Amino acid sequence: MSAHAPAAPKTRTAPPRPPSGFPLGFYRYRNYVLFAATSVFMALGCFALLEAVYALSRGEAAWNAWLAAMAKPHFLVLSTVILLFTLYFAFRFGWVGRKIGAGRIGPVPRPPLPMLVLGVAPLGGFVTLWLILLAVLAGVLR
Amino acid sequence: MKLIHKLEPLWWILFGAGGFVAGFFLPALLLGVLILAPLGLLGDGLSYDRAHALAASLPGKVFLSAVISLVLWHCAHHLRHFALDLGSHSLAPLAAYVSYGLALAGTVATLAIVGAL
Amino acid sequence: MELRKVKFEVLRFRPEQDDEPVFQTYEIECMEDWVVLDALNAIKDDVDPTLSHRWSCRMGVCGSCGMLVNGRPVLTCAAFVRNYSGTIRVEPLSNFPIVRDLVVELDSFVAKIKSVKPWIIRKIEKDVAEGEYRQSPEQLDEFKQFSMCINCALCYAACPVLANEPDFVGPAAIALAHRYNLDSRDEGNAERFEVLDSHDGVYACSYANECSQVCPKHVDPGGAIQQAKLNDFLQWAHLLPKRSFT
Repeated sequence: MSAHAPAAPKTRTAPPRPPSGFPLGFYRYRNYVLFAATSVFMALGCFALLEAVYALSRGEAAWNAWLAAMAKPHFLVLSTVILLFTLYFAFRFGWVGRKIGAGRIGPVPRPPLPMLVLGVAPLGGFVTLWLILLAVLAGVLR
Repeated sequence: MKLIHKLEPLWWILFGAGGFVAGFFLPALLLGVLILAPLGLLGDGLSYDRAHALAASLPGKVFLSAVISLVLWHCAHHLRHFALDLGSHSLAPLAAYVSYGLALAGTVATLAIVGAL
Repeated sequence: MELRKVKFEVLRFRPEQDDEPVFQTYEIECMEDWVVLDALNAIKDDVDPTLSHRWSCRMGVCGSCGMLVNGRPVLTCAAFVRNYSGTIRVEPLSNFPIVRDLVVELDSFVAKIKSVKPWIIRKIEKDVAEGEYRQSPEQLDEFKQFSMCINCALCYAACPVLANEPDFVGPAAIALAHRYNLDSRDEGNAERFEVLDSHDGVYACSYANECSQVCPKHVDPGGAIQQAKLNDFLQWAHLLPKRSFT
């Protein structure tokens, strides 16, 4: 504003309009909503794991009964849905999470270019770790 | 609510750590325990004796407690912020107390249940 | 050169006559190489001189001509008409109050940029006779990307958080703060900390990453915010002192 001219009176403004297509109209905002929904399903997954641990702590009969219950079709469907959302979460979190590693954090400088390129492909690292963990669960390892 | 705001960095680091362990461990854990084991496709990998031995060992207990509670904190923080994105300004304190309260309850339950192994 | 008749559905708002914004359709002949800004200027010149819109350099460096085209925030000087089919919808930037037609009030944006003190802060300024501040190419590389912001506010229009939390400091401001915190010449990390650490600061970001998707200068404010979050946490937890590390 000029130091010489008096400030012009402000005219009435129209209220801000929200981003077009939020939350479900535009595919990227829709993905953002799906990403939020992963938290619902991962929490359910944690609840199921806690149930499993609880059954495990009550003895062999309880554990086998729990396994039998989880083998019912409706639970298998639910477990698959939970797993799919968890996988979507893992890819999206890994894909965007690499940005943290791409910059300076305090005294630790930005990684050199080869490391940055590796960070672009979290898929390989994730899948390897998952296979190792599955192998542990299956008794193949340790 | 002021305390919640003052502790934002704490909620965020729990969110980040929870996301980290969720990405690294949750898919395989869920696939193995919720789908493959009930279907009998893991051989005797998760038979009672082996599963109990794995879970009740010290590394097993630490692993399970850490993964389950951190993921719960992750989910709480994410859902609280998503509630804000949907415009519930008046519900903001409720969203924060409910989500973090549930995460805290979940952590306590996890430690109790895992501890009972 | 081929001419093509294109329909534009433009949001109008004239406070002296409109209760609320309303769409008005124009049909004009566009040349093959036109951008949406060319069309708006043609509308204003030849069809409706009352249409108001901001523009300046028309080459993507001034940041004046940001608008929503078919719902996405773009610089209209970089949005080619030939890349759109059917009627093209032009609206002012979302998340900002509308002053008139396609012109939005950017006061909050400017205030947020200022709030992060986007200038070199020194505890003691060097005397000119002592010479310049030396900076290596590696030190420049640390923050150069985040210095490319042209303040076009497209990131603010795209951010879903800002729609309901208008006090969120926002992508451009945080990226700019991060740019100065990474600058080896700067000693003002502690002074920016309070703004970044507040609950309207970095932690209000929910990492939709829409800001980085729409940024015309590839600043990647989303990435800057995530790095700022981790740095901020370490400083909040007193694991790192509040100073620049470059």
